[in-house]
Amino acid sequence: MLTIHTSNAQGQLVLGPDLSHNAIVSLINPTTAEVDRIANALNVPHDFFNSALDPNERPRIEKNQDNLLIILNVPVPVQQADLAKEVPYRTLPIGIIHAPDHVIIVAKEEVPLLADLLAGKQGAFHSHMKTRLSLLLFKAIAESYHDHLGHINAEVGRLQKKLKTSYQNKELFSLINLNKSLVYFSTSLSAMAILYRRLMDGRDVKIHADEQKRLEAIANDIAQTAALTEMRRESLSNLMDAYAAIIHNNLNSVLKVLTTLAIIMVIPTMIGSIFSMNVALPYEEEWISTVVISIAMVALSAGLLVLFYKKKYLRM
Amino acid sequence: MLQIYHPQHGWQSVQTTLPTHGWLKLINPSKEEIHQVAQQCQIATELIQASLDPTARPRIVSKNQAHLVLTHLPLPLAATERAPFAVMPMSIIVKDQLVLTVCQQDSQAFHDVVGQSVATEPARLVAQLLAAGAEYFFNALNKVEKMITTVEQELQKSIKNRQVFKLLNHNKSLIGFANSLASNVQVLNGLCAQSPLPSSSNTHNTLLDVKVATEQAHAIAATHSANLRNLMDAYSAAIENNLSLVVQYLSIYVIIMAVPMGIAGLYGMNTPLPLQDEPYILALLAVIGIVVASLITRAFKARSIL
Repeated sequence: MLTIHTSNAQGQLVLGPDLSHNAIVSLINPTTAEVDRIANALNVPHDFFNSALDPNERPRIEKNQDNLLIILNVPVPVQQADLAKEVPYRTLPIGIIHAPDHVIIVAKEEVPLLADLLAGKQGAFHSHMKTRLSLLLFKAIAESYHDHLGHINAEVGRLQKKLKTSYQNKELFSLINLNKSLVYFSTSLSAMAILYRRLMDGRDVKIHADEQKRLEAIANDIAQTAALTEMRRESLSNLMDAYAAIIHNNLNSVLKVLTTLAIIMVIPTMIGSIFSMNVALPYEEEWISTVVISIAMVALSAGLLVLFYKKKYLRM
Repeated sequence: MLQIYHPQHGWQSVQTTLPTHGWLKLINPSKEEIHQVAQQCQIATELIQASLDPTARPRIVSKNQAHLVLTHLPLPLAATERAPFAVMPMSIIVKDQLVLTVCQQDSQAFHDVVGQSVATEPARLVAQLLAAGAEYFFNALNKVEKMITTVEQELQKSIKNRQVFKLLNHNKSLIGFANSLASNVQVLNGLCAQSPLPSSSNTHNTLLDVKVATEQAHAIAATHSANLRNLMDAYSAAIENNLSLVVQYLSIYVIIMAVPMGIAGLYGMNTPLPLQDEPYILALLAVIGIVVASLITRAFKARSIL
């Protein structure tokens, strides 16, 4: 989807006319035709677009004579993910391209933070302020990571409650998948922290003194978020062992109950087998003996049931 | 094997006389080849042999106008090997206008450089080679990650330890990568701070990019291997649980089967039993057995144990 924004005279961002000077072009999940059109019109290499749309792309900078591409990773939730089978959050590369008179934003999927950014939620900007827009995007991404970390924490809390009574691996695998999301976040964040440090020396993007401060703050923020994510990942993966042990204990208490039941059921079978032997048995011709034996069976089974229940063999 | 790169013809074997400029590639060289290069190019033998020691550390060495940059590259292993990747040392030696690369085995990184346009300026070519090496590490990391994901999916159903061993082996590759990348970062720091080679600002920028890429790759490898190490216990526990779940199902089947057995035991008794001479009694007992067994099954299902 191709949208073009420009700032009007009052400094508001409006859906602009066609590729005018200083426009912001956003390409969200673009068709090949759209990419071709923009690449040819603004003289930007096709490789820039392909890199930004490649799901495995890492955060980095790429330059040629008059264009600059910055690739960043944003956190995205996986739609309708079954937590036990899939990773709930991934990271997705988005590219921001500084062309001589335009800014192009490229992403493979619709990301809410881009719409918020263009709506001015991060701060005001004019469509010709490329560096400013990029910095606001950096800030939006850092906040988005914070939010997603919160979501993951809430999920972990929910799973912890379930885990107390769980004896299936489902919850354990859900935790493992959440932990994987943290790994994706952690690697993307540390890669971006390294990239921002590189941007701060100002050789790739011209940065004014006041923006320099802003970038420094964002770089620190990202580095802190990276450290925090790494800490969460570490603690979650260490906790996982404890959870695994809990699940295992729960499962073993189920096994205990089942074995107890099997033992109780063996009693009538055993008595029946004794009286089926083809040897002379006392009172085997009397009808009363059947009644007596049946009562004995029921009594023994009931007695064992009570005994085992008292001994907590029949309770989880 | 001693080859020289021609922009028009690609790789060509070198005959008796060595060129004085360009890119010379030595793969698993014989003693004669090492001797020939050392003699004709005036490069110390130990510089040429540096990367043939599989435990060589990444470093920068200069010796009589020849500069050696030794870094590590990923080395894909055959499918029969246990780990998917190892690392191997690769040295780039620059003497005047000649760039010599020495390696125990040919590497994808060299092909990637040839795929671009090979620079004639030595410092530029060195930067290209290092960039290709960093890129190759990223590819290898992606491959290992994909393999790990596959093994993790197998784990969900597994009751054998094979998958845990697989993960351990993949982790060996990751640990190797992390160590090598850490040393590569040191070498690139050295090159960026004070390169022994005269280089343009453009080349210097490329080196900075390679440094960033290597740092990122190191962070990825370190995070992944730390995480896998931590998760190993959880995975073993998952397998143990899978096994216990199987035991649980088997116990349930034993209990369900005990019902018809009990009934048969009762009516096997040699005492007089009610209705034992009726023709329909067998069918009746069978029905009772089936009904009771299915009731027990439903009870287990209701408690979501089965």
